[in-house]
Amino acid sequence: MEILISISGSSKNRGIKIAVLLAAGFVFAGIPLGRAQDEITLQVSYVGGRSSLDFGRLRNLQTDGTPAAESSTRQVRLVMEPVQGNTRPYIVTQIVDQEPSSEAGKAASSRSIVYRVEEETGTGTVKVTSETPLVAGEQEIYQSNPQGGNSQLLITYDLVTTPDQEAGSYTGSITYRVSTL
Amino acid sequence: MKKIFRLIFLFTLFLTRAAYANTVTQTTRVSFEIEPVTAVNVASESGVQAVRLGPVAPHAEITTQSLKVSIKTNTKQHYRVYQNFEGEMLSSAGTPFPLQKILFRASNGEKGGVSEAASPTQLTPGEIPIFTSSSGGGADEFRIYFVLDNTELFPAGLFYGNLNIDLRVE
Repeated sequence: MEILISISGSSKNRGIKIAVLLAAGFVFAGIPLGRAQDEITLQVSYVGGRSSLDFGRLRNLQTDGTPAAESSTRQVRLVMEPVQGNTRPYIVTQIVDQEPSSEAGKAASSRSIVYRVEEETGTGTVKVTSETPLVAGEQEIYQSNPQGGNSQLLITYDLVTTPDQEAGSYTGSITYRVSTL
Repeated sequence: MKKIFRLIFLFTLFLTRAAYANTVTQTTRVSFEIEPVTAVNVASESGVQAVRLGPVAPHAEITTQSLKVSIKTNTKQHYRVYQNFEGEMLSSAGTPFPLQKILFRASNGEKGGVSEAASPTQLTPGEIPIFTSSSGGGADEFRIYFVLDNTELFPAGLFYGNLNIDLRVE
Protein backbone atom coordinates (compact mmCIF):
# COMPACT_ATOMS: atom_id res chain seq x y z
CA MET A 1 0.00 0.00 0.00
CA GLU A 2 1.27 3.50 -0.81
CA ILE A 3 -0.16 6.67 0.67
CA LEU A 4 1.30 10.02 -0.21
CA ILE A 5 0.28 13.21 1.52
CA SER A 6 1.59 16.41 0.11
CA ILE A 7 2.88 18.93 2.63
CA SER A 8 4.89 21.12 0.30
CA GLY A 9 1.98 22.42 -1.78
CA SER A 10 0.32 24.25 1.09
CA SER A 11 1.67 27.18 2.89
CA LYS A 12 -1.20 27.36 5.30
CA ASN A 13 -1.09 26.01 8.82
CA ARG A 14 -4.55 24.56 8.31
CA GLY A 15 -3.34 22.21 5.57
CA ILE A 16 -0.44 21.05 7.68
CA LYS A 17 -2.70 20.50 10.64
CA ILE A 18 -4.99 18.33 8.51
CA ALA A 19 -1.98 16.35 7.29
CA VAL A 20 -0.77 15.77 10.84
CA LEU A 21 -4.21 14.71 11.94
CA LEU A 22 -4.49 12.36 8.95
CA ALA A 23 -1.09 10.82 9.68
CA ALA A 24 -1.95 10.34 13.32
CA GLY A 25 -5.24 8.81 12.26
CA PHE A 26 -3.46 6.33 10.02
CA VAL A 27 -1.16 5.40 12.89
CA PHE A 28 -4.09 4.57 15.13
CA ALA A 29 -5.91 2.84 12.30
CA GLY A 30 -2.89 0.62 11.69
CA ILE A 31 -2.22 1.81 8.14
CA PRO A 32 1.48 2.06 7.34
CA LEU A 33 2.73 5.26 5.78
CA GLY A 34 5.86 5.87 3.81
CA ARG A 35 6.29 2.29 2.64
CA ALA A 36 6.78 2.35 -1.07
CA GLN A 37 7.46 -1.32 -1.83
CA ASP A 38 8.31 -4.66 -0.29
CA GLU A 39 11.74 -4.72 1.24
CA ILE A 40 12.27 -8.42 0.83
CA THR A 41 11.01 -11.21 -1.41
CA LEU A 42 10.15 -14.76 -0.42
CA GLN A 43 10.12 -17.66 -2.83
CA VAL A 44 8.72 -21.02 -1.76
CA SER A 45 9.44 -24.11 -3.83
CA TYR A 46 8.93 -27.82 -3.29
CA VAL A 47 11.83 -30.21 -3.77
CA GLY A 48 11.03 -32.91 -6.30
CA GLY A 49 8.87 -30.77 -8.54
CA ARG A 50 5.77 -30.92 -6.38
CA SER A 51 3.20 -28.19 -6.10
CA SER A 52 2.36 -28.57 -2.41
CA LEU A 53 3.33 -30.48 0.71
CA ASP A 54 1.53 -33.66 -0.32
CA PHE A 55 2.87 -36.76 1.43
CA GLY A 56 0.80 -39.11 -0.72
CA ARG A 57 -1.16 -42.23 0.19
CA LEU A 58 0.15 -44.20 3.14
CA ARG A 59 -0.77 -47.19 5.27
CA ASN A 60 -0.94 -47.43 9.02
CA LEU A 61 -2.19 -51.04 9.02
CA GLN A 62 -0.97 -54.02 7.04
CA THR A 63 -3.58 -56.01 5.15
CA ASP A 64 -3.70 -58.47 8.08
CA GLY A 65 -4.41 -55.62 10.49
CA THR A 66 -1.00 -55.41 12.14
CA PRO A 67 0.32 -51.86 12.65
CA ALA A 68 2.44 -50.43 9.85
CA ALA A 69 4.45 -47.28 10.43
CA GLU A 70 4.96 -45.99 6.90
CA SER A 71 6.94 -42.82 6.39
CA SER A 72 7.16 -40.11 3.78
CA THR A 73 9.52 -37.15 3.51
CA ARG A 74 8.94 -33.85 1.73
CA GLN A 75 11.13 -30.78 1.51
CA VAL A 76 10.39 -27.11 1.04
CA ARG A 77 12.94 -24.51 0.04
CA LEU A 78 12.57 -20.89 1.12
CA VAL A 79 14.60 -18.22 -0.65
CA MET A 80 14.76 -14.77 0.94
CA GLU A 81 16.17 -11.90 -1.12
CA PRO A 82 16.15 -8.35 0.23
CA VAL A 83 15.49 -5.78 -2.48
CA GLN A 84 18.42 -3.65 -3.52
CA GLY A 85 19.56 -1.27 -0.83
CA ASN A 86 17.71 -2.93 2.02
CA THR A 87 20.05 -3.96 4.79
CA ARG A 88 17.53 -4.57 7.51
CA PRO A 89 17.65 -7.90 9.34
CA TYR A 90 14.68 -10.19 9.10
CA ILE A 91 13.14 -13.22 10.73
CA VAL A 92 11.37 -16.18 9.19
CA THR A 93 8.36 -17.63 10.98
CA GLN A 94 6.51 -20.83 10.24
CA ILE A 95 2.82 -20.61 11.11
CA VAL A 96 0.84 -23.82 11.25
CA ASP A 97 -2.59 -22.38 10.55
CA GLN A 98 -4.24 -25.75 10.76
CA GLU A 99 -2.77 -29.10 11.76
CA PRO A 100 -3.62 -31.80 9.23
CA SER A 101 -7.04 -33.18 10.06
CA SER A 102 -9.44 -35.61 8.42
CA GLU A 103 -12.71 -34.78 6.69
CA ALA A 104 -14.39 -35.77 9.95
CA GLY A 105 -12.35 -33.09 11.70
CA LYS A 106 -10.08 -35.46 13.58
CA ALA A 107 -6.54 -34.15 13.82
CA ALA A 108 -3.66 -36.40 12.91
CA SER A 109 -1.42 -37.34 15.80
CA SER A 110 0.56 -34.23 16.70
CA ARG A 111 3.80 -36.20 16.57
CA SER A 112 3.11 -37.74 13.18
CA ILE A 113 4.90 -34.92 11.33
CA VAL A 114 8.23 -33.56 12.48
CA TYR A 115 10.42 -31.00 10.72
CA ARG A 116 13.91 -29.64 10.79
CA VAL A 117 15.46 -26.54 9.23
CA GLU A 118 18.81 -26.19 7.52
CA GLU A 119 20.44 -23.05 6.16
CA GLU A 120 21.68 -23.74 2.65
CA THR A 121 23.02 -20.24 2.03
CA GLY A 122 23.36 -17.22 4.29
CA THR A 123 24.95 -16.38 7.59
CA GLY A 124 21.96 -16.16 9.85
CA THR A 125 20.81 -18.29 12.76
CA VAL A 126 18.56 -21.31 12.46
CA LYS A 127 16.19 -21.33 15.41
CA VAL A 128 14.95 -24.90 15.01
CA THR A 129 18.01 -27.08 15.15
CA SER A 130 16.47 -30.44 16.00
CA GLU A 131 13.45 -32.41 14.83
CA THR A 132 10.36 -30.62 16.08
CA PRO A 133 6.73 -31.76 15.99
CA LEU A 134 4.54 -29.81 13.60
CA VAL A 135 1.89 -28.36 15.88
CA ALA A 136 -0.54 -25.48 15.44
CA GLY A 137 0.88 -22.05 16.14
CA GLU A 138 3.82 -19.84 15.26
CA GLN A 139 7.46 -20.81 15.43
CA GLU A 140 10.34 -18.53 14.55
CA ILE A 141 12.66 -20.70 12.51
CA TYR A 142 15.36 -18.32 11.30
CA GLN A 143 16.94 -14.95 11.93
CA SER A 144 19.17 -13.30 9.39
CA ASN A 145 22.42 -11.64 10.28
CA PRO A 146 22.15 -7.96 11.36
CA GLN A 147 22.80 -6.78 7.80
CA GLY A 148 20.06 -8.89 6.26
CA GLY A 149 21.28 -10.37 2.99
CA ASN A 150 20.20 -13.31 0.89
CA SER A 151 19.53 -16.65 2.50
CA GLN A 152 18.10 -19.99 1.55
CA LEU A 153 16.50 -22.49 3.91
CA LEU A 154 15.63 -26.13 3.40
CA ILE A 155 12.83 -27.42 5.61
CA THR A 156 12.46 -31.19 5.77
CA TYR A 157 9.15 -32.66 6.90
CA ASP A 158 8.95 -36.32 7.94
CA LEU A 159 5.57 -37.99 8.27
CA VAL A 160 5.23 -41.34 10.03
CA THR A 161 1.83 -42.98 10.23
CA THR A 162 0.51 -44.18 13.57
CA PRO A 163 -2.04 -46.95 14.22
CA ASP A 164 -4.49 -44.56 15.88
CA GLN A 165 -5.05 -42.57 12.70
CA GLU A 166 -8.33 -43.13 10.94
CA ALA A 167 -8.39 -43.83 7.23
CA GLY A 168 -9.13 -40.85 5.01
CA SER A 169 -7.72 -37.63 3.61
CA TYR A 170 -5.95 -35.24 5.92
CA THR A 171 -5.36 -31.60 5.03
CA GLY A 172 -3.87 -28.58 6.75
CA SER A 173 -1.93 -25.44 5.89
CA ILE A 174 1.34 -23.76 6.71
CA THR A 175 2.20 -20.10 6.20
CA TYR A 176 5.78 -18.89 5.90
CA ARG A 177 6.25 -15.28 7.00
CA VAL A 178 9.32 -13.13 6.51
CA SER A 179 9.41 -9.91 8.50
CA THR A 180 12.05 -7.23 8.43
CA LEU A 181 13.00 -5.88 11.83
CA MET B 1 4.15 27.03 14.48
CA LYS B 2 4.16 25.74 10.89
CA LYS B 3 7.64 24.28 11.44
CA ILE B 4 6.51 22.54 14.57
CA PHE B 5 3.61 20.92 12.75
CA ARG B 6 5.92 19.86 9.95
CA LEU B 7 8.30 18.31 12.45
CA ILE B 8 5.44 16.47 14.15
CA PHE B 9 4.27 15.16 10.80
CA LEU B 10 7.73 13.93 9.78
CA PHE B 11 8.22 12.34 13.18
CA THR B 12 4.86 10.58 12.84
CA LEU B 13 5.88 9.37 9.39
CA PHE B 14 9.13 8.02 10.83
CA LEU B 15 7.26 6.30 13.64
CA THR B 16 4.87 4.59 11.29
CA ARG B 17 7.71 3.34 9.16
CA ALA B 18 9.52 1.98 12.21
CA ALA B 19 6.39 0.45 13.67
CA TYR B 20 5.34 -1.46 10.54
CA ALA B 21 8.06 -3.87 9.57
CA ASN B 22 7.83 -5.14 6.05
CA THR B 23 6.26 -8.59 5.95
CA VAL B 24 5.77 -11.07 3.14
CA THR B 25 3.92 -14.37 3.50
CA GLN B 26 3.17 -17.49 1.50
CA THR B 27 0.84 -20.30 2.43
CA THR B 28 1.10 -23.93 1.39
CA ARG B 29 -1.31 -26.83 1.68
CA VAL B 30 -0.30 -29.92 3.66
CA SER B 31 -2.00 -33.18 2.80
CA PHE B 32 -1.77 -36.94 3.03
CA GLU B 33 -4.07 -39.91 2.86
CA ILE B 34 -4.36 -42.98 5.06
CA GLU B 35 -5.46 -46.08 3.18
CA PRO B 36 -8.51 -47.87 4.64
CA VAL B 37 -7.81 -51.37 5.93
CA THR B 38 -10.15 -53.86 7.57
CA ALA B 39 -8.89 -57.30 8.50
CA VAL B 40 -10.39 -60.33 10.23
CA ASN B 41 -8.20 -62.79 12.08
CA VAL B 42 -9.55 -66.10 13.35
CA ALA B 43 -7.69 -68.37 15.75
CA SER B 44 -8.62 -71.26 18.01
CA GLU B 45 -7.54 -71.61 21.61
CA SER B 46 -4.43 -73.41 20.39
CA GLY B 47 -3.66 -70.53 18.04
CA VAL B 48 -4.37 -72.31 14.76
CA GLN B 49 -7.18 -71.53 12.34
CA ALA B 50 -9.18 -74.69 13.08
CA VAL B 51 -11.84 -76.02 15.39
CA ARG B 52 -11.01 -79.51 16.61
CA LEU B 53 -13.92 -81.23 18.37
CA GLY B 54 -12.57 -84.51 19.55
CA PRO B 55 -11.51 -87.20 19.69
CA VAL B 56 -15.05 -88.04 20.70
CA ALA B 57 -15.89 -90.97 22.94
CA PRO B 58 -19.51 -92.16 22.92
CA HIS B 59 -21.54 -90.56 25.68
CA ALA B 60 -18.51 -88.76 27.04
CA GLU B 61 -18.61 -85.22 28.32
CA ILE B 62 -19.74 -82.50 25.96
CA THR B 63 -16.85 -81.17 23.93
CA THR B 64 -16.54 -77.39 23.58
CA GLN B 65 -14.11 -75.41 21.47
CA SER B 66 -13.96 -71.71 20.67
CA LEU B 67 -12.61 -69.45 17.97
CA LYS B 68 -11.39 -65.94 18.70
CA VAL B 69 -12.40 -63.50 15.97
CA SER B 70 -10.41 -60.24 15.91
CA ILE B 71 -11.43 -57.37 13.68
CA LYS B 72 -8.77 -54.76 13.07
CA THR B 73 -9.67 -51.66 11.13
CA ASN B 74 -8.79 -47.99 10.78
CA THR B 75 -12.22 -47.05 9.48
CA LYS B 76 -15.38 -46.05 11.32
CA GLN B 77 -17.68 -47.98 9.02
CA HIS B 78 -20.40 -50.24 10.35
CA TYR B 79 -19.83 -53.91 9.49
CA ARG B 80 -21.32 -57.35 9.98
CA VAL B 81 -19.58 -60.71 10.39
CA TYR B 82 -20.97 -63.84 8.73
CA GLN B 83 -20.30 -67.50 9.35
CA ASN B 84 -20.54 -69.68 6.28
CA PHE B 85 -20.38 -73.46 6.62
CA GLU B 86 -19.63 -75.03 3.27
CA GLY B 87 -21.53 -78.21 2.48
CA GLU B 88 -21.16 -81.15 4.86
CA MET B 89 -18.74 -82.68 7.32
CA LEU B 90 -17.49 -85.87 5.76
CA SER B 91 -15.12 -88.62 6.81
CA SER B 92 -12.35 -89.79 4.50
CA ALA B 93 -14.66 -92.65 3.60
CA GLY B 94 -17.34 -90.16 2.59
CA THR B 95 -19.58 -90.77 5.58
CA PRO B 96 -21.49 -87.62 6.57
CA PHE B 97 -21.57 -86.36 10.15
CA PRO B 98 -24.92 -85.13 11.55
CA LEU B 99 -24.27 -81.38 11.54
CA GLN B 100 -27.24 -80.63 13.76
CA LYS B 101 -25.30 -82.20 16.63
CA ILE B 102 -22.88 -79.31 16.54
CA LEU B 103 -24.18 -76.17 18.21
CA PHE B 104 -22.57 -72.76 18.14
CA ARG B 105 -23.07 -69.31 19.63
CA ALA B 106 -21.22 -66.02 19.38
CA SER B 107 -20.34 -63.69 22.24
CA ASN B 108 -20.78 -59.93 22.25
CA GLY B 109 -17.77 -57.87 21.25
CA GLU B 110 -15.31 -56.38 23.68
CA LYS B 111 -15.65 -52.95 22.03
CA GLY B 112 -19.41 -52.64 21.72
CA GLY B 113 -20.22 -55.07 18.92
CA VAL B 114 -23.31 -57.25 19.38
CA SER B 115 -23.81 -60.98 18.83
CA GLU B 116 -26.44 -62.04 16.35
CA ALA B 117 -26.17 -65.65 17.51
CA ALA B 118 -26.27 -65.29 21.25
CA SER B 119 -28.19 -68.53 21.85
CA PRO B 120 -26.83 -71.99 20.94
CA THR B 121 -27.80 -72.64 17.34
CA GLN B 122 -27.48 -75.78 15.23
CA LEU B 123 -24.79 -75.66 12.61
CA THR B 124 -26.32 -75.73 9.15
CA PRO B 125 -24.83 -75.36 5.69
CA GLY B 126 -24.86 -71.82 4.33
CA GLU B 127 -24.23 -68.33 5.57
CA ILE B 128 -25.70 -66.60 8.58
CA PRO B 129 -24.84 -63.31 10.30
CA ILE B 130 -23.30 -63.85 13.72
CA PHE B 131 -22.00 -60.42 14.78
CA THR B 132 -22.63 -56.77 14.07
CA SER B 133 -20.34 -53.90 14.95
CA SER B 134 -21.26 -50.93 17.08
CA SER B 135 -22.70 -48.03 15.08
CA GLY B 136 -19.28 -46.40 14.91
CA GLY B 137 -17.56 -49.51 13.56
CA GLY B 138 -13.96 -49.84 14.69
CA ALA B 139 -11.84 -52.69 15.94
CA ASP B 140 -13.47 -55.37 18.07
CA GLU B 141 -13.04 -58.95 19.25
CA PHE B 142 -15.48 -61.75 20.02
CA ARG B 143 -15.61 -65.53 20.35
CA ILE B 144 -17.59 -68.27 18.64
CA TYR B 145 -18.21 -71.29 20.86
CA PHE B 146 -18.82 -74.70 19.28
CA VAL B 147 -20.39 -77.52 21.28
CA LEU B 148 -20.68 -81.12 20.18
CA ASP B 149 -23.77 -82.78 21.60
CA ASN B 150 -22.17 -86.10 22.38
CA THR B 151 -25.19 -87.93 23.72
CA GLU B 152 -25.52 -90.52 20.99
CA LEU B 153 -23.30 -92.88 19.11
CA PHE B 154 -21.61 -91.40 16.05
CA PRO B 155 -20.05 -93.27 13.15
CA ALA B 156 -16.32 -93.78 13.59
CA GLY B 157 -13.95 -91.71 11.48
CA LEU B 158 -12.17 -88.40 11.09
CA PHE B 159 -14.62 -85.79 9.84
CA TYR B 160 -13.74 -82.54 8.12
CA GLY B 161 -15.66 -79.48 7.07
CA ASN B 162 -14.93 -75.91 6.02
CA LEU B 163 -16.07 -72.87 7.92
CA ASN B 164 -15.55 -69.35 6.56
CA ILE B 165 -15.76 -66.18 8.62
CA ASP B 166 -16.44 -63.15 6.42
CA LEU B 167 -16.77 -59.46 7.18
CA ARG B 168 -18.80 -57.05 5.11
CA VAL B 169 -18.88 -53.30 5.47
CA GLU B 170 -22.44 -52.00 5.35
